[in-house]
Amino acid sequence: MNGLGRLLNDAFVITIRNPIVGGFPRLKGLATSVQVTVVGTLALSLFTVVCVGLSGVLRSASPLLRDESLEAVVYVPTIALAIVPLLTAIGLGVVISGAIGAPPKIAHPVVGLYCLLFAALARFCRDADPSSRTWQLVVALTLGVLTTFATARRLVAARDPGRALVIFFTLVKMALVMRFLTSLSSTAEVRLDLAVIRVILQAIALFCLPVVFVAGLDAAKFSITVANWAAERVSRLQSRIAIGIVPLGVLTAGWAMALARIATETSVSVTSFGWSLTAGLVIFFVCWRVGNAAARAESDETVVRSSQALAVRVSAVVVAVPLVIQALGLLEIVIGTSSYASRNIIQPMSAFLQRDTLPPTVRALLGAVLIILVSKHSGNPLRRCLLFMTGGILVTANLSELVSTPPVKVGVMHLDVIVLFASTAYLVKLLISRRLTRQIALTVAGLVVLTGLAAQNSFSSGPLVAILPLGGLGLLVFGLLWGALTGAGDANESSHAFASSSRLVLFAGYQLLTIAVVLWATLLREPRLTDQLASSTALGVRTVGVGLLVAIVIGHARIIPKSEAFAR
Amino acid sequence: MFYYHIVSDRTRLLAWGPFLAMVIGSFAYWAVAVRGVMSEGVPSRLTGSDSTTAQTWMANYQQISASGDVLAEVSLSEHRLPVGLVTVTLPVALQEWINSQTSAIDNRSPNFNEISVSTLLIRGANSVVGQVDEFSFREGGFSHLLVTRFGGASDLVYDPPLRYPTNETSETSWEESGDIVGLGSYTLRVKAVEPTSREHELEGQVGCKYFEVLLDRDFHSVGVQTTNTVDSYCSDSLPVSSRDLVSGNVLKRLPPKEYQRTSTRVAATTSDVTSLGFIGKTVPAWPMQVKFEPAVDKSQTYVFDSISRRLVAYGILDGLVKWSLAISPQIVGLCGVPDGVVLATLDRQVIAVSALGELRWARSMGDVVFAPCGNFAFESFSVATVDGSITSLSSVDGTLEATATLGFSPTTVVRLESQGKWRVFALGVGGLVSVADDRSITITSECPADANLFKWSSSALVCLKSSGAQVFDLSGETIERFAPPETDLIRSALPAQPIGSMSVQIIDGELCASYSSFTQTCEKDHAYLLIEFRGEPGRETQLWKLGLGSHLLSVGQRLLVAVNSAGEIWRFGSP
Repeated sequence: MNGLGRLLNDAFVITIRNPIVGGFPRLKGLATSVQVTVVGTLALSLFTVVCVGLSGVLRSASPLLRDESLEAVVYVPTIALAIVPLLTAIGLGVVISGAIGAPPKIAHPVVGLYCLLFAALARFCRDADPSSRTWQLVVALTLGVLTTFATARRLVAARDPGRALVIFFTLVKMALVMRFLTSLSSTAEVRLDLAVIRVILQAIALFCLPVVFVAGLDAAKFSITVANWAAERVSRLQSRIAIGIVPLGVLTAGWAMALARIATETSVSVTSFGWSLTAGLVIFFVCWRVGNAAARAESDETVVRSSQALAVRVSAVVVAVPLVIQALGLLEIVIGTSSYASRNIIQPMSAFLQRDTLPPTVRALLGAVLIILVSKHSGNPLRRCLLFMTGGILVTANLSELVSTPPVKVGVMHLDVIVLFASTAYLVKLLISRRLTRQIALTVAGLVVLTGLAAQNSFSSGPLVAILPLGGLGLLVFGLLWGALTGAGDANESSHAFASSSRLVLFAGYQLLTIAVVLWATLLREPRLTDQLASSTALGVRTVGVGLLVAIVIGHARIIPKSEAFAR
Repeated sequence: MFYYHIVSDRTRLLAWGPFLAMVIGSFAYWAVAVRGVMSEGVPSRLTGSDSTTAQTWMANYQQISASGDVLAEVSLSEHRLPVGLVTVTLPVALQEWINSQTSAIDNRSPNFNEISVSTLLIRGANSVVGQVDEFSFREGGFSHLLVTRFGGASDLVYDPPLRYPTNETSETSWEESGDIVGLGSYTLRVKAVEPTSREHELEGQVGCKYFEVLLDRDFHSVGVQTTNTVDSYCSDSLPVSSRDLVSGNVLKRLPPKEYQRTSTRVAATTSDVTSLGFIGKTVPAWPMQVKFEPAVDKSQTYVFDSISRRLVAYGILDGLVKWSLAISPQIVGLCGVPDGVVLATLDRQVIAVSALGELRWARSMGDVVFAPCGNFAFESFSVATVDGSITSLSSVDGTLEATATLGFSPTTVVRLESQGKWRVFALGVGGLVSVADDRSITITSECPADANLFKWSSSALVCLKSSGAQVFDLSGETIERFAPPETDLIRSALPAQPIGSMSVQIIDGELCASYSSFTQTCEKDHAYLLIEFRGEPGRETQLWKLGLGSHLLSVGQRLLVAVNSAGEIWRFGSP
């Protein structure tokens, strides 16, 4: 194998094979029913991702329907109306069958939202035709009651027939409701099935925001892995010529790119950039102190695992407010918008939650809690660093949002500038004191490559954005795909209360549900939904993604003094 | 042992249960729901089923004499609609008569529910000189002509309906007579004939049948009028292929390429509009439902009635109906061009119709056009499509002038045009992207996705952000920046549209009452047209009372119209 072949093989093994081997659902030892459910659902998810990639072709080959039932007019290809509710129903069925075996704190909200969704669908049907007593509606409602009963009776449903029935009932219920609404549409002026499915998918999209948020981290993980690999290669260069040229070239290129980005950023607002850089510097400095005790071996795998667990928890809080608003909205539909409870309890609660200042306050508080956790707990230094950086980013961004001006958003670009400046200063200092060695120079160059690559557009806009015509959804689609293949880290764990069989089914179902929503967004080309999904992914990148990068950077940076000592 | 196998197989089957549930459930879903979704299509109450394709919904023809002279320029269009939607355009007596005729058919043909509407526009040099609408239905391989309307006023009602042939008619000859209600009587003689050389006059038509049709109409007032035609009925789905040989004169379809651009650019002057006056109010010719903003050109306004699916052209100055055309594809919006209107359709087309009602051209786009796309001063106009493209076309012949792919669906699209140049600005998740007539594409991060973008004048655009506002000129350069609280003034002008140095917007009664000088005149449920000087609220402000409910506003170069959902139009213009 020649040099290039070895290089490509190494790149493939490190950046693609190893993450998949480590993060793919581990099915060995699980029941056949779980294996086929997980594999079948993930295969369907991958098929759906392909459909997302081909959404332009699918849309142009399908007749369009105009829907103006909601605020924004959309043109819906009939194929979207045919496929997406089916995928959604399968996803919902799999999620609910996975949730049955989960601990109550997970199972209850999931089952509650599931029941709420179908209750809202039933209410829509009733409102669409109050006099209707058609068999579809009666059967759908009966199945709804049976599903709820089967789900509540966990002993029955936890077994294979119970799971199968729950999935089957979900599909049949959705089919009957859609058929009922479609048949009403032929006599009404609006497509009721379309209008209702838009509302329901909007609700599901919000319930999927945690997965979307984590997908941001998954996309970031890939970018960081690639940058990390490149940095390692630079650090290990053996060629005598390269050793002299590479650090200088890397630093020059790094500064050139950073200055170009600074010029773009400062053309918008110098003050905002200045504040963001200052805040980034402070948080980074504290992170450095926190991560001081880290050893090189801890940096990558441990921190990546920690970041994944953290992302799930952070996402639950970050999207908590819109989730509650959506749940209240569904509840309002179910009990009727003009009822006493709606007018006097639900609507005031929704109005309170919809205040612009509430989500930033909740997120800033979450950031503060993370920072406090770092100071209260001793543990893995890099994990604490991850917590502190993520907390710091949440606090600065959301506090500045509360006071409106100037916006302070610490991002990977600021980190790149800080690392570049610190690296250059460190190298100059060593050069003056005649202590600079080749090993140190290459290690520092590797660090600059790591942050420099991570700061490229691919990190923030997604590697597939140029290939797939998805706009802001490119990052999300890639994150979901990468997450489906490598993101089962926690789901592979097992405990008495929450077995991996349930975790993996839940994981696969949520992935499918989320990708189905993305397919809906891409087929409809609805900017608001697309923006909502894409911005949640970007939030995942900006918070936990940057935190992860900082932890890895500090893990790498800590070995520089050791390499210095080694050189002596 | 046998028992063990059964139990074992059953267990194995149960282990595959969830997966089988997915597969069987999906089939059940497909059978119950998906087939329904795919087959229902659009609601039948709104559309009916069209046998004509979108490309052939309308065509231009010339009537040519045997010696080759052009006798008349005509446009023909035809589509089919449910009875109730067709008859809405007619007087009550005619509605009742058609309903009585069609209800009789219901008993014979249970699936019958549609009536064909064909419209013939006869064009003079500068105006439409005549319009003939025919209402018929198909049954038993015949086309039964119920009513012929001349100019929307003079009606010939045939009792029993005239039985015309179609390409499915198997009879070779027949003779019938009946009454022209209140006016006289008719005799119709039809005979199949052999094809002749005229077949070649209608290019591209195959499988035709030819019938000689002799119609004698005996009017009490003027006596007998005879029409002798040789009709061709082909399997081609052209709107009207019949009556193509009238008294020896051939009706020849014109290809779109015969319409050539007469000038490259016709720029309208807009900057001198310093006052606007009320011209008049137009009451709709029939009960209408207007969902889309009207379009305005130099002298006419175009309104699309969603009930009868007719495009109606009104003269701005006199408010009279100039013509109306039945449009087959579903319309999603109208765009005004200097001498006509461009229709954006649900089947991803843009279709240009001239001020005289002739089909200029039709072009397929990558996706549905964002509509309304405004009224354009030049023959070049720009549309943004849902797939995230901006396309500039010639309104005269549909030539592609510039196109750009944004990579995202824009939320706002604004076009500036001044002194022969234009630039289209689109705002979306990718920020602000602009495309100029030299096809250069510029992306600026200075106007973020969450900003508001609106046209300030014919050559200036404002990006309103939370941190301030920026004014861009036609070249895309920033010409001015505003910081709060100056932006409040700009924010207050946000909903208004510029027309010259004026600013117009429709406000409701409550907002009207907030203007201290109008508190005595404002009624809560009414809409008002507010006219102010751009950027100088309160200076010589005018307020015009419109009708009840919501209104749509369309601003042209020197004219503007407001229309309510019932089709009442208020016309304003600059002196």
